[in-house]
Amino acid sequence: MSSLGKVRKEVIYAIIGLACLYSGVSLLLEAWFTLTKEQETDFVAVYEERFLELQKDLSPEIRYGYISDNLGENKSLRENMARYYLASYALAPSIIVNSNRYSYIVGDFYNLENVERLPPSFTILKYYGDGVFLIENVGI
Amino acid sequence: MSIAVFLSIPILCAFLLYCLATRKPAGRDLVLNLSIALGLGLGVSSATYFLWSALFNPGNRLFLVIELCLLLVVVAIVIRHRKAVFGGSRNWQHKEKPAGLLILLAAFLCTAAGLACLSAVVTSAHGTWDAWAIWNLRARFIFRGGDYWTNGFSEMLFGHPDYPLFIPASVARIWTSIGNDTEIVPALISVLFTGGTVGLIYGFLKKYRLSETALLASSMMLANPMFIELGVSQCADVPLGFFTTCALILLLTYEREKDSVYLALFGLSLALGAWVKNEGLVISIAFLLPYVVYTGRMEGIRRCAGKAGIVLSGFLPVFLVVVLFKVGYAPGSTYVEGQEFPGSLWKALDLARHGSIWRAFLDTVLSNSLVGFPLIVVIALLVRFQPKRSEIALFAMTLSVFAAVLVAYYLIYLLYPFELGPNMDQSIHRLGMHIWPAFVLWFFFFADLGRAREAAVEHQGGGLNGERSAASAPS
Repeated sequence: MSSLGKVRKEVIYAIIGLACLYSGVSLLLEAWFTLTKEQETDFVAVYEERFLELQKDLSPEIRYGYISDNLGENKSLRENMARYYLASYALAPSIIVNSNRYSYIVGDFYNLENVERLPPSFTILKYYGDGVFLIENVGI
Repeated sequence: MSIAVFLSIPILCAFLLYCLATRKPAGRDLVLNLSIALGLGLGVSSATYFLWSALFNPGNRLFLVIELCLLLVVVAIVIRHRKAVFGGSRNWQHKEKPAGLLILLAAFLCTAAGLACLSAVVTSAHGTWDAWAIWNLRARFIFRGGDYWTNGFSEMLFGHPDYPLFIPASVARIWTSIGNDTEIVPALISVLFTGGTVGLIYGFLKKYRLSETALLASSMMLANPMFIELGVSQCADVPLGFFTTCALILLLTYEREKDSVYLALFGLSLALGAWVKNEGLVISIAFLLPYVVYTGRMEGIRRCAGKAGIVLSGFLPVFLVVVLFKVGYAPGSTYVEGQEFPGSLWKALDLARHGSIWRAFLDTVLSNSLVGFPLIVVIALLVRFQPKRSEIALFAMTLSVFAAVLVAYYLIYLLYPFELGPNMDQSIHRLGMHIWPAFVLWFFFFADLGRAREAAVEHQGGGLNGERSAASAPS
């Protein structure tokens, strides 16, 4: 190997090594700060907990509708949409459809005052706490 | 403990069968062989578990007995051929030692990546949005559903119920085996595939290039925050990248060793990619078309047809499972059903749409990470690409695979039937990870950073039929 070749090879090794080292230190520090700071509760786990009792009452044979209210002005559309997906995830293997046109509907409310605004054809079958309801839609 | 046992059974089966089929001692190229076995073992067990579910019920645990019997049969065959698997001289153990600093760097990066994985699992045990809204959701339907396990493929559900089932079936298989749906299982599978991808790159480059080259390339993967983040997200992008890399490795190995086992396993890897994600089918086509042209030109139509048959013998069994799922269980693809004429044609002619796809593509490439594409460009300016005359066509063919995937992904975005912007912003970096590990491997394989290891292996009777040149380095 010529000296030029050796130098070039060492330069290549040094560039890759330094770039990886820099990136690796960032990765390590980020992981370290995440692990050492006070852990926030995983929002998926929160949903799992909220829907635990309801999940036991649902049957995989029946399709359920889903209604919810708005999380508030400072929450994005994505965060509001996430609630439906989280409910589906927590309540599997029942099929939860993002619609109120079903006989049985899962109610997922952030503000309990909104429950009072439900149409008269909606009857609350059971309240599971923390804004989670099983509702019957007698209008279907 | 039981999770580890049920994860190990298919991997161990695949490892022993791979050593038997390739007639290589089990200890030789251990990292590479174990990494290949990880993907093939979990992939085939996922596809067979889906078939089992379709025939009987996902909750029927008799499949565990069959898996154990299969393992015993494989072990019996290995014992019968123990000389081939465990015996032989140890001449293949190479003496070349990489620089200590590179070993230290790799060890540090393994620690950093390991901690990053741990922090991701601790903070979001259920994975990222797509993990719980698509992949783990489907796994729950299979595990919890009993007779209603196909509820998870209802078109009334949001979250792409038409996506293939590699991840959901792999996760549900373990959950059924242990009897509960702990979130550790999808997290562990995602970490295994992240590590396995690095293992593939390290093992293959160590086998055919210098150990130092192998360490540099795997360091580039370990230090890439995007790769680690997506790897532990519990989504299917890194597993698909794994199978793309595995397919490239098996193809390159076949081209050197001319053992048709590798060609059949190349086909199997491609089909497993299609079992991971719909894009895997695109990648399969992107591999197969250039390879048919390459073989046809190099060896004639008859040999090409023969090789195509071997590839299909590996490809078809798992691909038929994908077809069974798509035809018999999955709802129609919203992407395909959303196409309309002439609306899709206008999209293809919309210059602003082309511009936004190019912008997103360039943004992703340039802002990906310091150790991503920008670093490859810098190294490409310094290193020489001097494939041997016999390798030039292979170099061009494999490069054209990446080009074909990029063109196909470009067209997918161009004809995307819904609002392009938000979807593209959320997915383009993930699509890149389908080919990035394979590209890193390709780059370091063809870049002239030295080939001492290969020469040493051949000199000591390693059995390679490929080149027999002495060490060459940039000069």
